[in-house]
Amino acid sequence: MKNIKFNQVSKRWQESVAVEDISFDIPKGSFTVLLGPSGCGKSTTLRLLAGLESCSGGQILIDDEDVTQRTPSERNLSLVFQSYALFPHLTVAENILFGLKIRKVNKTEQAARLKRVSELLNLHPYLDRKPAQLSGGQQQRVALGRAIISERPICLMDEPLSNLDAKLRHEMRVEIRALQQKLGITMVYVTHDQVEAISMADQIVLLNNGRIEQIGSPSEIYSQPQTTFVARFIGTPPMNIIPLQQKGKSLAIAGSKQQVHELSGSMDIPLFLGIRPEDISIGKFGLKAQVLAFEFLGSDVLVDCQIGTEKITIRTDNQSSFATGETVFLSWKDRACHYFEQNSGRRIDLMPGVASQLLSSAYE
Amino acid sequence: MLQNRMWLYGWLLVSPALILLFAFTHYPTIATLWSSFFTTPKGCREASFVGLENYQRLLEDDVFWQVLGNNSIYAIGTIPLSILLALSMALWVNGKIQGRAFLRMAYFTPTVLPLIAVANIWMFFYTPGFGLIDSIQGAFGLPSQNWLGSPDTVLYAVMAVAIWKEAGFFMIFYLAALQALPPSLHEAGRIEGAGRWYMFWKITFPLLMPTTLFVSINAVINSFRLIDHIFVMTNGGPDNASSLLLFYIYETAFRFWDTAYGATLTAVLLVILGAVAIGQFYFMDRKVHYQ
Amino acid sequence: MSSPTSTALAEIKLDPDRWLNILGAWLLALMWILPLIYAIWTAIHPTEYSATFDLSAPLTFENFERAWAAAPFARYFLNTVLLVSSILAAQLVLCTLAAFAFARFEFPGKNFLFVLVLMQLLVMPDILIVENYRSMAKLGLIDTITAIGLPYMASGFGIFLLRQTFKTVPIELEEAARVEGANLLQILWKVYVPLAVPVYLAYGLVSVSHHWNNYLWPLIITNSEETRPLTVGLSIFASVDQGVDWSLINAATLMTSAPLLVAFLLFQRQFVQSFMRSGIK
Repeated sequence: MKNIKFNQVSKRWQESVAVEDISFDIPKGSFTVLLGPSGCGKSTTLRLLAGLESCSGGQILIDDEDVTQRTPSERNLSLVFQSYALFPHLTVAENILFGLKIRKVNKTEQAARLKRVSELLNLHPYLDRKPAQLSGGQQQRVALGRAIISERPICLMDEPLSNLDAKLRHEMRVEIRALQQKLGITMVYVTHDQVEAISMADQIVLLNNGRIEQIGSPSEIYSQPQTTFVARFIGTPPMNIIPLQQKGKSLAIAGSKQQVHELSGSMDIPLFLGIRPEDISIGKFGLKAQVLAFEFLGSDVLVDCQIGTEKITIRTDNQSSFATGETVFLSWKDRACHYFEQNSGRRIDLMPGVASQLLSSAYE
Repeated sequence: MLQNRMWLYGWLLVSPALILLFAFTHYPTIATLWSSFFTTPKGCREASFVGLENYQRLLEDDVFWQVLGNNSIYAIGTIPLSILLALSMALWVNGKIQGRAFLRMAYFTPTVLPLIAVANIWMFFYTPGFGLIDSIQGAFGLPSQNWLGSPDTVLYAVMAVAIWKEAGFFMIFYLAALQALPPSLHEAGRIEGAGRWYMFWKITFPLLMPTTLFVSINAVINSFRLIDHIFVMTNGGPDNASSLLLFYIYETAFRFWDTAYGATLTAVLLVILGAVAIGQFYFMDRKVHYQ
Repeated sequence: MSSPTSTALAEIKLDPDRWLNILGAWLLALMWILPLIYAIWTAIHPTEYSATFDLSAPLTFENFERAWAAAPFARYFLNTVLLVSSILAAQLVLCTLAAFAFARFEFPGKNFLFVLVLMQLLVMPDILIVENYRSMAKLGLIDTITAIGLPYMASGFGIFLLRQTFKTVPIELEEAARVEGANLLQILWKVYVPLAVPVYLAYGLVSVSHHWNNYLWPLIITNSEETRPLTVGLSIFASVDQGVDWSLINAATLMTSAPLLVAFLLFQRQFVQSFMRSGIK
């Protein structure tokens, strides 16, 4: 088990910046997911850690040792590629043993480890096959096998499940997480899929445009998104981000007169209200809204409504159907509300009555 | 630091090949041009600079013009015909034809045989009175003919061998290209009710353009390079009627040991090949659409 | 409109176009194979039958024996084998190293050097006989097998072909090997080379048949039995010694081409596919 530290790491190519000044810690034995949309710099971050790219600035430390200048193999980690990167001319066994052979581990040790790994991953029936003769899930297991047979304390994975179908993806999620915990590996896992991140991670590092948006546990990221970007990135359908209008101490949804919050003092910063679709209930009282569209999903329904000039999506298990144009009433709990500053997109915690004090301190 | 090491490795890896390439391709190319401005060193007499004198001689050399004319006829006669045959062969062998494996083998066999060896066989075919062609002609009551002995026919006799040798080789490139064509194109054409000839001219042939260009360039180079059979069959004769540029270079440099003039002739050949290269670029840009 | 199947049937049965095609294909094939068949015929029959095709003619192996005895073919064979294998070995090593650098390294001057490599596709050593002879004379290599092979050992075609192949190898495979601790040569040897095996095979066949058959340069640079390859030996044998004994000449001709021909007949598919692969740019 090893801990990893990124210290103000940057990566620039000629004109573009892939990763800008990022710092974070990965605790020993944790499962850390680098999450973000494509092009956010998450894969670059992983490749910087692997040593496949060199840093333009900053340091990477593994167990407090600076490894920034070391080659990939000197960093003592394993890597699973999105494409699996299995050698097509080698059998499953040879693929798994590739690194051990390069490092000239003795033959009996090789055989013993191969046996252990192939049993762990249910690969023993396929050891003599070539990768092309395997299904996607089996290839994935071979790639995993090659990573874990080295018994290296850190394992990096770059979108390892993106080539699998939905069912297999779910199975492998469970399997990888179990494997990581069983072997006590420090895992760094890159994905753009928030479901993978939420369901597997101990810690999520959410990146956007080469910068860190938020670091936290899945539940923190879900319940305390620090920016509108994080708020909308996590959760399906994404959180409603609704611009608010201020009239004195009253905050109302833009284009309507219905108050959603009352400030304790006046403030002149434009705000967004963020509210998750699953936190809204449709009932007989609350804010008045018109149904725009209705979508049946099986266990849930999605209802698009309009309040003022804004559109709000609601996800509810209320099985009654709604007609377009119908008037409904929406309500939510106070603690389901998230507020964000419109210009910066940053979170602001408004407490009834003390909001303005908090705000003034937040802006120092 | 890391980058500089990569540079060093890169250079180290390419240097053995490039040193040899430079020594036996680039240096002799430059040296050819250089030598063409000097006289041939003889005995203890050093080569001396004579400017364009060798080129002057070239312009006045009837044999040179004859050989250049021969080579033009040789190129114009062999290239289109061998390409046409190659394309037909490829289309036949690529389709569902009876005895496909045999046909492919038969077409390709000349490619693996040494040209110098097959020249011996062909020579016998051409032997007057006794040879195969004459025997067949005799059976139809036609007079005997000395194919290789007459200046009127010798060049064509030599060209026939070149076509025979090359068509099967070029067929391979067409075959590769045909097999790479997506079958859906033909299926689409058939659904539209296009006839076979229409399909060929409107779909297959245009898609084969890159191959045709590649083969053409090879054919042009070969029309200057493949001269082995001349040595066996005609020795350039009679009266230089079957001599080609490279053969003339060989004669000049290695039979008469006039290396300076040999270099001058080689320079002409290099200019011709340079023109081919420029033409290739021009065509690549304009006419051919690579997928 | 008739259904597609019945149209296809009608095409097979009635289409004169199709029959003309079959006829043309077979006629051409016979013309193309005829010289070989003829050579075989004369070689295995006594000289008297070399122009008369009598199926009852006695078979004989004598022509081969006489030809083999009439010139030092054993030595020529040895020379050719030495020549072809040394060229191929050098080509494989040099082209692999250079192609690897051109495919996966960045270094100053790379593009310019690659253009220099491509130049050889156009200006082959075959036509630079005058100056290369002069160079060999300076190096004191006239009349050596080394001198025959040297101009061909760095092959522009080989470098180009392997570079194209190496470029298609996914970069992740190299990275996976690097993470496992493979060094440069291990990466080349364990990842790139095995994945290019079909291309090596193709290139090897093309190279061997090309240099087995090469004539002009060996003719110029050699002048003794100890160095002459088969092609030169054969041409001397056919032109000087034998007058017009066609049976003998054809026996010798077959003998010199036999290894390639037999290899070709045995591995026809591979041969054709190899040439095809090497032609795909």
